Amino acid sequence: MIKVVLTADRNGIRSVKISGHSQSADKGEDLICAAVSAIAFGTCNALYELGSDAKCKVGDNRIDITECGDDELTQTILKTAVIQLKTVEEGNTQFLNIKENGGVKP
Amino acid sequence: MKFTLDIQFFASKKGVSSTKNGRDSAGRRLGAKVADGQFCNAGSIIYRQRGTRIYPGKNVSRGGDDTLFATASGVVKYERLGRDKKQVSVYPQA
Repeated sequence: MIKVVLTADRNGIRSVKISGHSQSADKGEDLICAAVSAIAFGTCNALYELGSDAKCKVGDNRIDITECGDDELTQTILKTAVIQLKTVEEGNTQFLNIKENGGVKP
Repeated sequence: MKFTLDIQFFASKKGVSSTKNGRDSAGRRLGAKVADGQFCNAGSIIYRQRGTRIYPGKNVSRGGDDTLFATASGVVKYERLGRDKKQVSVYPQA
């Protein structure tokens, strides 16, 4: 299962951490993994290319987006990513799980 | 820094259905059903086995699946048979 941990406060999303294995199919045929990978990499590249100061770190089956400012550009990109991930999560909760820490809805 | 998309970045390393193993049959519960020195009635099963790990002795017979059962009521005794074999007998109580 891929785990997405969102940390947010009243000013917005502070970090998005994505890790794990989807295991919805064999490597190369895993559609859930493909969707999440596309969203995650796309979000990192959007933050970079549009000039956000957020930090993106890609590790072994792990992508961490941290140090997210509360400027409108960064927050809009991150909220878009969260909505996209939630769209994938619907109907696929056994492969993708989104948890929101901090108790404040982004 | 710009990242190159790995479309299977969150896929598992090994294939989900890569192993065809992992199956086993249920245990057959073989072995002694009556201990040495215990009383048993005629017809009761003493030892379940595949092949003759233990041979039938006095008042004991072997079934079609090599199960050993008592042919008389009495006390069960596990004994040596020759150099490296074992047998089980039932000694009726006087």
